[in-house]
Amino acid sequence: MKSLIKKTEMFIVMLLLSISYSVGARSENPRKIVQNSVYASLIKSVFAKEVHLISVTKSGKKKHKVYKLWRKRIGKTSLNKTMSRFILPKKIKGQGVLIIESNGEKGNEIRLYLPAYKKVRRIERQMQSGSFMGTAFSHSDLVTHVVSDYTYKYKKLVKCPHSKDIKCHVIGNYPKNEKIQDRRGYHSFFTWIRSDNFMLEKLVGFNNKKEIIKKLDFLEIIPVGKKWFISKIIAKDYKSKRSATYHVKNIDVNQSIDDSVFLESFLKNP
Amino acid sequence: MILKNIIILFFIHLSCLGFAAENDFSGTLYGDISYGENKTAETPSFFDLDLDWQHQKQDSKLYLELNLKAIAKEEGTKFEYDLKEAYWHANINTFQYTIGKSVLRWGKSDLLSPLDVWIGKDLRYFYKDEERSYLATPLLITMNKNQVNTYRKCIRYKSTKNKKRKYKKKKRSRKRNIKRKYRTTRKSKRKRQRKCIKYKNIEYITPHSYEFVLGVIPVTNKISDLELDQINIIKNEIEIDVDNIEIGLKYLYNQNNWSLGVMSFYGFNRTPYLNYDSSENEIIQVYKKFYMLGLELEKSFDYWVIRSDLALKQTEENSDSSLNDFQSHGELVFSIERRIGDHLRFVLYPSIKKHFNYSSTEHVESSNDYNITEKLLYTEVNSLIHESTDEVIQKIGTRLAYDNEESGLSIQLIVLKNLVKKDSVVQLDIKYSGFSDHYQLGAGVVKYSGNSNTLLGQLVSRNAGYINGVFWF
Repeated sequence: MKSLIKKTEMFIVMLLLSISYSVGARSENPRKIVQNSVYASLIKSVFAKEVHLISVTKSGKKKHKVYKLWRKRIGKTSLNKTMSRFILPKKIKGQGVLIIESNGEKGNEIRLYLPAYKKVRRIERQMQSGSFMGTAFSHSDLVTHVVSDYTYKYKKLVKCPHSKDIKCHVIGNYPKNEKIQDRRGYHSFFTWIRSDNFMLEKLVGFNNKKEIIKKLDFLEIIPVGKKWFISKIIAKDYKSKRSATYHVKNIDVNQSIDDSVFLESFLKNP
Repeated sequence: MILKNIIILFFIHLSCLGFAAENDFSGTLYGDISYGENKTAETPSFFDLDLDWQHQKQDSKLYLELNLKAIAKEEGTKFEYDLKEAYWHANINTFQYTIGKSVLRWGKSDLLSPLDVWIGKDLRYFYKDEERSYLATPLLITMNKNQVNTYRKCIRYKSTKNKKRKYKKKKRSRKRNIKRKYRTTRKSKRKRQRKCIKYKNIEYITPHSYEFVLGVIPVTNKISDLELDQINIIKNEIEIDVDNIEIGLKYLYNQNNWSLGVMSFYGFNRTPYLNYDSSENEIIQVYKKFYMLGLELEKSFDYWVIRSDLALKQTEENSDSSLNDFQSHGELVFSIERRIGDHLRFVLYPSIKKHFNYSSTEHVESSNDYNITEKLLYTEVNSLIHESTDEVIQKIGTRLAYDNEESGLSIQLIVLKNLVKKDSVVQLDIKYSGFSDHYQLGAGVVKYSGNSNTLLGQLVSRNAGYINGVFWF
């Protein structure tokens, strides 16, 4: 009789534990996790002397581009402004790209400087889903994720794809409208977010037929105080069958960056 | 001339230093071989060597660009050298300064902007190779007040604790007698009297920016290059004088997805006029001064970008004004750009030009006020190169560009047509740089058509196919 009571107690405890676990998993707020992920990588300002962008074409041909990068947080928002100035190859030397992030209907503002024409040109907002300098990355792959533009679904808690001893939250991201979808370039996408520091480990983008169109692997992060900076990303574009590596070297996070770096006048004449 | 040679020698010396000391040195070698009906005279083949040297130090930089050209002419190869750009640039507080010979571009629409008054165009290459045709102003001083402003914010006040206590005691004792109104005034007065002991400069970006430009055209005739084989022109060199100073002001309002610029200019028209000097019995090349008021607008939408440039130009009144002077006019260029898919881009440029106080060709030909040479210059040259053949000129241009960065292939089709006189130019240009980031091969065709009394019709003899190559180092 005693053993039966013990067995029943054990069963009830197990049952309660499993229920609490599944309820706990379901009650994870995906929006909050994404928000934490955005805030974990929100650094006041970054200057990188060299950003290496290596693209490999369908035929296996390699192309290597190097640029300087300045990034600064816009006020107290989660948005950034980024200035990129190309150094190599010589063909595009001096070319500049200024991205000022914005949320809501406005979308990000992208301006290009072409040294051959000595002119600054604005680009249409949907261009953000287009290729960044002919690589597998799009402009929107390299800017801050705007939390309010998406709805989220918590999928599961799994082992992280790159840090095997850490658990990752898998979250489904669904653009709120077609404009955002066009701008982002994905019908929907899944993100793997580390449970310890909320940094991104992986992103898989889908088209409207739910086929994988792009995979991004976030391979290296650098601690910056209590925040983190993503320094290496590999992108694989399944549509064009090309891949690219984004690798930030020589970063300086302590140097304060003047706001004048993010102006059209600096874009024209650094 | 001596000064120019010294600068070039200095530049070559710096270039050598650049190789040794890893300064920022780069260059472009460009070769172009044309195949036309009249190959040597009208469509010359040429080699271009551009050498750039840049020395950057914190907030300032020195930039030099030298261009060496070898042009295959009927009479033999002609060598030209030119200091394309040589300037010093600095960022000081919220100001930017540029001093020297530099290319400054105004206006938003790319091919036909009437606001692009600070550059001359090498008309030998303009329709064939736009980016190689810009000619800098010999001496340009620009001052930009950029969009960053600062204000002082107090981050620490002098402690007012004791004062507060005293004030409270007093307040209690007088509480019944003091009226409410009086109390509030005292409170606000006390707040104002707090002393700040530590300030911090806070930066903020405004949407406003200003540009002030001074241009000087010294002894040179290189502000535009016009070659007319049929007419022997005496090039009129401009001498350094107060009259040769140009002035420009620009205000730019920048917002998230749009910008608006207002500008004014008083200076030389970079395209010369051919005037008849009756005392010397010769044809001289003259650069006329004019006033301009302009407006530029750029706005990006989800799939489109629109750009618009409007200019009102009025010639300077002077005593020797004649038939062949600059005619005052208004010009509007509108452009709509759209991306189609990942690699295609389409741009449409409609434009309209309206002349005020217009002298028609018929009126000039039947008038007794002008001599035969003046009439001939007006009808055959000046009205053509300055596009004043009609009171209203409507043009339309299109650019269809395919650009595949991955494969290294880019194809561009440009069509420009005058809707009144029906003259036109079509250019197909193909470039391939798939084998390396250092080399590019290209080929193309330029075809002009129209009557001989039209601008583009005059260039029919320049119809040609061409191949070219670029090497970047």
